[in-house]
Amino acid sequence: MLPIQAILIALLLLIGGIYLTALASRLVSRLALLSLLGLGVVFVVSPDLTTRIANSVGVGRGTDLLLYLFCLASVTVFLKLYKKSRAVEEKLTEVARQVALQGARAPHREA
Amino acid sequence: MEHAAPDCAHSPLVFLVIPAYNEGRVLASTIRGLLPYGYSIVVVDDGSSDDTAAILRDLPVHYLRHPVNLGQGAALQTGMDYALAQGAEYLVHFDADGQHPAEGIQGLLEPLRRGECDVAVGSRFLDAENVKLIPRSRRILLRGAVVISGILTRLWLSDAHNGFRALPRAAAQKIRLRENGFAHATEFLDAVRRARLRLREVPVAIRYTDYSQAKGQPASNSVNILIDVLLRKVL
Repeated sequence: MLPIQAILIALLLLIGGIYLTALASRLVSRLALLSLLGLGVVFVVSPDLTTRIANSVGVGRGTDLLLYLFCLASVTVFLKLYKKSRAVEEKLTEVARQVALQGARAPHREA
Repeated sequence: MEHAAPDCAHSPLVFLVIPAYNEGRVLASTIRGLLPYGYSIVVVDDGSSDDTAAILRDLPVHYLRHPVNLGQGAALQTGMDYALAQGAEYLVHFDADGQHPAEGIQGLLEPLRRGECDVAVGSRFLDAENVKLIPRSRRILLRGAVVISGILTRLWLSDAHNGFRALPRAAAQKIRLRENGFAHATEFLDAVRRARLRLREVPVAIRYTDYSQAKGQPASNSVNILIDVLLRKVL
């Protein structure tokens, strides 16, 4: 095993450990993460495998295929985060609105 | 609408909703100009960091304050919620910086009272004299906005981004602005179309003072607003 393989596998396991203990709570997302990690380890152990998959779908190198997938994953994550921040913003708006309505000051004299 | 009474011209059941973010002094003079008309005035202070609260203390207005700055759309919605809870018959969106003429309010309310439409919006482009008041660069920008807004909302107006609007209670209850920022202008029209409200444009003159020019949205902001609107459509 090459040094880089050991490093990558160690990092994958570390990330997986953090994610499983601290972040994900739903079983589905945990299973998805575990299989993704497993796949990562497989690719690290046998890099030629990615190239063979890449060739079968018409991509020259496995590295390129991974890059494409990475781009797609990044965009997906961005959209998910955007949606989440919108949801948070809407909740904040609702809270601020209630504060404003409860603290409303009517005119001293009728206009 | 059916509840039109002859003395409505000075009815306190007409609620002006004025969003204000750091408009302090000019807001006070805008309000003084409005007081003789006898409308109810709701100022929504959108988390201003200036002395807006202190300046308004002695003016006979309803004062609400967002604890944090949310944006003009959010402030309008808060003001509408409040006005509806206060029993408003008519709601008017009015600008804090005094660019909307107070005498124009009556013109917006008239078609509503006659039941000819459910939403009245001011337009700077219906009257050739008014168009001359608009700075050239603004004019081009606004023409572009009309096209984009038309495509997105399928409402073809002469003036897409005019914040001077009036609507009766029943119509206001059907509209809920979720777009906190300036994209609410497009969202408002979208909501009007969805709720199948009848919209009418009414000619108004907008006063372009140095203050409103400096304070208003810079042209570059229109791109940001467009992106907001598009993202909102997609997601």
